Amino acid sequence: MRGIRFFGLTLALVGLVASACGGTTTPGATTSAAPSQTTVTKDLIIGFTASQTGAQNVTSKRQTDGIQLWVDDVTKVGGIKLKDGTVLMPKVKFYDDESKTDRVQALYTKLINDDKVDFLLSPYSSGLVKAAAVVTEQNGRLMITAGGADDVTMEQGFKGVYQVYAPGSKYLVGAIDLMLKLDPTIKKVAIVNEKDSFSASVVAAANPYAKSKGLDVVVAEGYDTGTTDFNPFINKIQAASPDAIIGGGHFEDGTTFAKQLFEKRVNARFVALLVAPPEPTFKDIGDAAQFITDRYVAKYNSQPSYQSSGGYAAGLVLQKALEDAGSTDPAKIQAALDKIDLMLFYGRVKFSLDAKTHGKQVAHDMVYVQWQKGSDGKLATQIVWPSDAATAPAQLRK
Amino acid sequence: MSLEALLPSAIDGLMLGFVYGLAALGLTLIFGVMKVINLSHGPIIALGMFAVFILFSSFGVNPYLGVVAAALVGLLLGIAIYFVAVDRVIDATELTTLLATFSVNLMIIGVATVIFTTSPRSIDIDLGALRAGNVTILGTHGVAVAVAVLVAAALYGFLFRTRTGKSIRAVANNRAAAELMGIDSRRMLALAFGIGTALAMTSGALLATLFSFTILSGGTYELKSFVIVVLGGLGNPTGALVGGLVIGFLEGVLTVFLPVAWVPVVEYVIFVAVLLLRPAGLLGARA
Repeated sequence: MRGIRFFGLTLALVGLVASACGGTTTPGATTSAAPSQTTVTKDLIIGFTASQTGAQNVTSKRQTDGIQLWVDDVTKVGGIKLKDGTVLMPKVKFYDDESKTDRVQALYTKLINDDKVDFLLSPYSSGLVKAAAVVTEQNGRLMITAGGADDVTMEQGFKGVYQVYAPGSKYLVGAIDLMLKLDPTIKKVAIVNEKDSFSASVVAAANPYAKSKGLDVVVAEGYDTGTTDFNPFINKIQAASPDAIIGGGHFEDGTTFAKQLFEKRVNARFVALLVAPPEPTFKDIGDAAQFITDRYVAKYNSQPSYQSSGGYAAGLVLQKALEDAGSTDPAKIQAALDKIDLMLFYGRVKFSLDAKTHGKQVAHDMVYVQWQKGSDGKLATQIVWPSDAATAPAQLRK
Repeated sequence: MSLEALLPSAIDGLMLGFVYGLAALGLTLIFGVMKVINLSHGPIIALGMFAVFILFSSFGVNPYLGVVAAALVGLLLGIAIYFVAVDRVIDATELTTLLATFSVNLMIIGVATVIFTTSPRSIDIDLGALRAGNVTILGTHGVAVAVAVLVAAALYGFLFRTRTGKSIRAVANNRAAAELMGIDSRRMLALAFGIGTALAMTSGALLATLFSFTILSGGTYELKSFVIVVLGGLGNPTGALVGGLVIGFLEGVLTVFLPVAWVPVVEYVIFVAVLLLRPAGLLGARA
């Protein structure tokens, strides 16, 4: 069998600069109440939905695990301590949204009106985030989105939705830069992506960017969410003989797409897929990540993914906002979120204050990882871009 | 779009067409014998997928042995569904039997969603591939075609060469006359429903060796089966096989010239056009 080295480049949404700086926010290691103050301990109920079933269940579970890990870590250090002496003990309340938008809308309404949760985090995936955002906005509630990168959602002028992930428009642009740095002779690129809001927003930015770099986009086509047979797309790709393939969508479809590309021995020299290539080993980003990784591995017996880190980071952002606000008053927390400029293990977090794009992530950058064989012959992820954060040089198929 | 994609796309489509034809065969057999439009067809296809998946993932059973097991389970399940939901309304209007099988559909989907959830599953099986230029024929696809052809041939052998098969055809042609000849029509109808269900589960089991799936995946193939059955001729098994190949081929070839998303649109246009212009289908209904 001719050995094709399949370069699944994924977008590990981890903060590249943060890892170098070691700018970890230690959960709970925050403000202490003055000795004279009376300590009042209150539960802080954080509501969200998780896709325990359906198309998003693998990645959504990772996000939920990340959130839960943050809750555990905060609980271990005695909760979130506010300046007035109040100690908040976070607890999660979540339901299975079955990866369906109608379930998300019903369940966020329930979380707000029936369960009366204190704060909301988002479901995983842009489509579900969008559905949840509409409900939280209508109810005048704050929500930190852990798993939604879609630009469009964050350009609706929402007042209370804050995006932790980098916007989708940034996702594949860097992959194109990396590709051209590796081989400036690459001319033809095929773009095949899932037709959901997130992937569409990624491609809406990547396609013109590729053209602006002089690339010829020889295939540009979307596939429906839930597609399992990629052969029609792959036959088109093979006929067009592109040097590179970029696109994908989420875990299930991206994994299947990658598998079928491999089965058909597609000759592209560079493949960059969104989200799907299996979870990056978080340890690659250094000591800051190690802090989370060790706990995550101990608790879940698996390496954290970028979705796990996104969930944990969302918790940290909420924690920081509560500490800065010194209160659970939503208005004060919203003001604190607006002012946040935070460096986490996850990367920099800062939100747009523009009326139209309020809450959109403006500071978070992307890194790209590639599965490479190590000297021991085992596959492992390596950060390959940007170059100043790379743990190994990127490899192209010869 | 380059015509280089035409040959591999046509081959991929045709190969898939055999499995589509097998799925449609189950639907058309039931309609041909008892004039029942089986709306539980899709969930039964999905059950075929899960039968193989559970045997493979939990008990380590070879997926192709799992296909045989799925067929046997399908036969028994179909007979059970017939006696529970169809038998008592078999002489009622077609709308009544339609609703009866739709209720079976809802029950299967409801229970199976609770048990299996809607999470995607897949069976990781690698049988290698034949490669020539742009054409790649995966071993799994080749075996699926072979199994589909074998099953279709066995069905024809059964219907045309065995006494029981001839009895089923007799009941399909004239139930009253068949009963006068001493054929237990109720038994034959139950058996036909069982065979139709076994065919659906077999096609689902084969599809599970090709693509990932969820408990809701059967719906897509149920819709395709309706298009194929109408195209080939309602109740006509040969028509279902030919229709499956035509739809598979069209799916493959059209994607070369059109965005893939347009393919279902073309299929449903064909569906409506056949109903309007040639309601008996390409090969005539109930041959």
